[in-house]
Formats: sequence, C-alpha cells, structure tokens
Amino acid sequence: MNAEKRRSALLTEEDWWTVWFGLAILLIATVLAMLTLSGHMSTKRVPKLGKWVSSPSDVFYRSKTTRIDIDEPTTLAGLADGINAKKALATAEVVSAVNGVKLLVVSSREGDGETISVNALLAGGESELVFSPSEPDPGGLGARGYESQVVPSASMVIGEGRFSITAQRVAPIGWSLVVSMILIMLLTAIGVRVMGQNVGRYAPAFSVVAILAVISFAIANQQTIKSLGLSYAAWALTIGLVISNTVGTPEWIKPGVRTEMYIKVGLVLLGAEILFGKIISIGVPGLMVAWLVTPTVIIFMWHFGNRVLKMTSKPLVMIIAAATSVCGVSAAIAVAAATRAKKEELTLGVGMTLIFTVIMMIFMPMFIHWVGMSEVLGGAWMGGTIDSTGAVVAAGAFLGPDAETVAAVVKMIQNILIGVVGFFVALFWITSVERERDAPRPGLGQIWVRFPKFIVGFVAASILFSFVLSPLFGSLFNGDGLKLVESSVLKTVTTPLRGWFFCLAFVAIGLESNFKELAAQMEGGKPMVLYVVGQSFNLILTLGVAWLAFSVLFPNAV
Amino acid sequence: MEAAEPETETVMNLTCRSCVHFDDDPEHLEAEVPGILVFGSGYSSARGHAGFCRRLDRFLDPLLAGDCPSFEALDQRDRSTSSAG
Repeated sequence: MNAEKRRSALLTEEDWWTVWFGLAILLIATVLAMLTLSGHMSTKRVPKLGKWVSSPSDVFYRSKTTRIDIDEPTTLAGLADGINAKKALATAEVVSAVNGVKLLVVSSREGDGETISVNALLAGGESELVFSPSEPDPGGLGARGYESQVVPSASMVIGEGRFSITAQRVAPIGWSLVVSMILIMLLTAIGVRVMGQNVGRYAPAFSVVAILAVISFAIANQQTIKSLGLSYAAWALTIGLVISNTVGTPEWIKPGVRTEMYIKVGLVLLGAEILFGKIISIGVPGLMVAWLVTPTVIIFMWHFGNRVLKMTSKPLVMIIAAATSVCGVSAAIAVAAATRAKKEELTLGVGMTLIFTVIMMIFMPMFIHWVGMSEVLGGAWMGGTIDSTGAVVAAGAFLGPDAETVAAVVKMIQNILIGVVGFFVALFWITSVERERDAPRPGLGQIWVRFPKFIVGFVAASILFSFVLSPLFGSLFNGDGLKLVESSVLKTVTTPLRGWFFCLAFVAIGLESNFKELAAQMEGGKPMVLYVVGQSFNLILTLGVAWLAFSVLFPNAV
Repeated sequence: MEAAEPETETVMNLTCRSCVHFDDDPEHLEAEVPGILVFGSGYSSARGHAGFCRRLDRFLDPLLAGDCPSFEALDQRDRSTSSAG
C-alpha cells in the first residue's frame, strides 16, 4: 500500500515530473555524447539562435563545428577543397597543427552572403592565405565557386596517415529548432497527461509559448539590441506582458502557461552545470541568508500584524508573512492549509505577493546594476527577498550568469523551508492560536510531503555531473573528464535546453501577469501595510546578512 | 518519510479525502485562486494533500482535520475517478 502510494506521488506531483524531465534529458544527452565521442555519429546539438545582423532570418543560421576525417595525405589546398566539398564552410580558428602548419579557416557572413578563406598559420605566427572564394556568395549557403590561391604552403603535403580536423561552418538551424521544440513538447506532454491534464489543449498552447520564446531570443540577438545588454529574459517577459496587458492572453493559450514546470526543469538542468563542490561553497553562506532571515521575518510580521496593526484575520497575517519571507505563492498555499484559511484569505495573500513580486523582479536588478553592487551579492539579495523561484531566476538572468546561479541556489535553500514552516505553523496554530486539544498534530512526514522535490533533481544532476559522468568520460575517452562532459553533454544539449526552458517560463510569467487583474486582487489598508513593512524589513535584513555572508565571511564562494 | 506514510494513509481514509465536501483537484485550485499560475502551481509539492472544504469554506489539510460534524462519506469509486492525487 505504501509503495502504491509513493508511486502515485511520484507520478502526480509536478515537482517530481520536473525531476524526471531533467534527468531524462541528461541521460539522452549523455548517450548522444558517448556515441559522438566514440565516432559512431556526428554531433547533435540543441540550437541556440544566431546573431541578427541585417535580417531577422540571420538568427536561423549559426556556426557549427564539424569534424572532418582525412584518410590520405593531402596538401593544404587539397584540404581546403575537402572542406569545401563537405560544406564545412566557415568561421573558425586553428583547426589542426600538422607538420608544423596550423590551418585557420575564416568565414564571415553579411546578410545572405558569406565569404570564406583558409589560412595557413606558419611558424612565427605569420598567416598566409591558402584559399579564398572568388566572390561572396549572394545566394546564401548553397553551392558556389572558389579559387585556390597559389602560395608555397598550398602544395605542402600534410597528413601522413589518418587524422582529423575540426572546422566550423555556418549552417541553417531552423529544422533542428523545430525538432527540439517538438521534443520538449512531447516530453512535457507525458507528464501533463499523467498528472491528469488535457494534452490536446496543452500542445497548441505550448506551441504559441514556444514561438514567443523564439521571438524573444531573436530580438535579444539583434546586433544593436544585444550591445545594449538587454537579455532574452527581459524580452520574454516584455513580450508576455505586452500581450497580457493589451489584447489579453487568450484562454486557449493558458494550458501552456506553466511557469513552475518550465522553471523547475531548467533548474534541474542547471544542477548539471554546477560542480557539487560549488553548490556547497555557495550553499554555506546561502544557508545563512535563507535560514537566519526567514524565521526572523515571519516572527516580526506575525507580531507586527497582530499587535501593531491588530488585524482580525490571523490566517491572513500568517499567509502574508510566509509568502513574504519564504517563497510567495507556494508558501501561501502551504500556510493556508496549516491555518485552515478561508478561500478569500488565501486569494488575498496570493494577490498581495504577486504584484510586488513582479515589481521587485523588474526593479531590483536595475537598482543593483545602478549602484554597482556585485553580481554575487546582488544575486544573494534577490534570492533571499523576491518571493517566487521563477521571478528570482528571471531577475538573476537580467543581471548576469553569476547572479542567476547565486540567486537560484539561495532561493532553493529557502524553498526547503516550505515544509518546515508549514509544519511549525500547523503546530503553532493548534497549540497556541486555536488551542484545539483534540486536533490531530502534524507529523514530521509533512516536511517531506511539502519539500520541493525539484531540488532533489538539482542536487542529483550536480552529483551525477561531478562524481559519475566526469570520471566515466575521463576513463572511457582518455582525457579530462570534466572538459569532455562540458563540451559534449552540457554545451551541446543541456545548457541550450535550460535556456529554452527558462525562456518559456519568462514568457509564461508575462502572459499571466495582467496588472489590472493583479491590482484588483490587492487590498489596501492593513494587509498592504503589513506586506510593505514586512518586505522592507526583509530587504534590509537580507542585504545585511548577504553582505556579511558573501562579502565578508565567504568572499570566494563563487 | 517511511514512518509518516502509514499515518498519512490511515488518517486520510477517515477524513476529508473520503468526504463529498472535499475538493483537492489542482485544476480547481488554479481556477479559483486568481493569479496562482503566475508564480505557482496547483500541482506543486507545496500543496501537499490540501484542498477546499466546500461545506466549511476552508482550505484544509486532511491530515490536520479532526472529527468533523459535516463529514459525509464519498463513494470510493467517485474518489478514485475524480481525484488526481
């Protein structure tokens, strides 16, 4: 019976599904990497969009690394022809060092045209042109004519026996992008179906969210916009907000608006990119930030709401306190159950946190950037104060990769407290608020029931990367295991996929954030005063503790 | 975790999850609490087994519910087909 029940929870909770999705992606990426490194197949990668230089269509082309096997001795010119024949046309740098000669394949692409040249880097660092096109090809990436340049090194024989070079080419990524999105949809649809939701409604809705995510990345990759430093996260959120607050998000798109699911899968994948030792080094100061401040803020807000504001609804005070100090909506749900709140109390508590979460998600990174605070301290501050995991990751992404990592880790450490807070609030409610002697006491098992299981996936992915895959790849392929996993598993599959999942989440946040509806859920008066005073206290206290932890006690945590 | 499971199962069978007034459908939670999908989910672990009691108008955790005068037993077949959790 217990086994039956456990299996049921493993299949019906979204948190568990995000673990399965993340680990399944890691497993598939590992198998693909092994087949690639052993020479059984060419590299398969999840595409990142290219740079938008002169036309939006530029984003559907990207330089791609290709390995070319040379079986017979050849000349540099012959090698260049070989590259041409295999359509390995393009950018790249030193591709091989053979007989003291290094090959440099260079290509540039402007608009629809592309130029390519192959240079021989001679001893002493001199570069000699070996091969170049007769003229830039205006027709894109199709066939074109090239002329070999007659230079001494072009006739030099290289390649005594079998060897390989790698080169990069500009390749279209449209179809691989479509295939990647379909695979994401199919994978997530399995969980959606088993959780009891309607796949027929999810699939078309997901497609729209995915298209908006592609548009967000495309705009962020526009040359001028990119130079302004506006990340894909900002565009994803903006596009979603514009739709939601102008024409409104159509009802049929809402089954695809699953912020929590997307962000949690992304976080599980993020675990694979962070060595376990680094999680520990961020985790120690992170514990100080999350676990010292959180209970202090809850206790402060409880007393402020009851003794100073004299609010009549005690469940509402506790819901707002928990939502402010732990993690917004999730904490509000957990504490509403512990305090047996009425529906309107839960609704008001959720509404109060939502609008401020959106505001903090947008303005905290701006403020941190404006005052010149370090990414690490800024990330820790946002991770400890912004109410929701999705908003924390978005705010971290606005600021930079270090901020994103630190903010996410601090938030996850804080998320662990959901079950703990739910347990102690329930106990406190029965013994001190409602004083029901005969009411059932909460069991310690409740802490695990409400534990955000995606954190298990995040830690498992990090352990897998640090202690299993790295040594395994090192011994199987005779090299630096860490670098092999990074180049063949992370950079090709899991990191780009994490970016797509985060982008889907940020679009979803925008699509669900209608300011008019959020404002209607808010209530002025005492609940507003409680939230503002509590959050202000939280902001000041968290900044102080984060500075102490990340700048004074553990300055080298990242 | 191991120790908590038998207690969980026993209490839940006796209380809210066997009651016609209890609604723990995550989709209903998402539909009835506006904005919950912006940064949350009815399907997350944080909800635990909690749901709405339609009779008492409360959001309840079945594990914390004591003897309830409003309890009305639900046909087990109804619960098995209507509940996702």
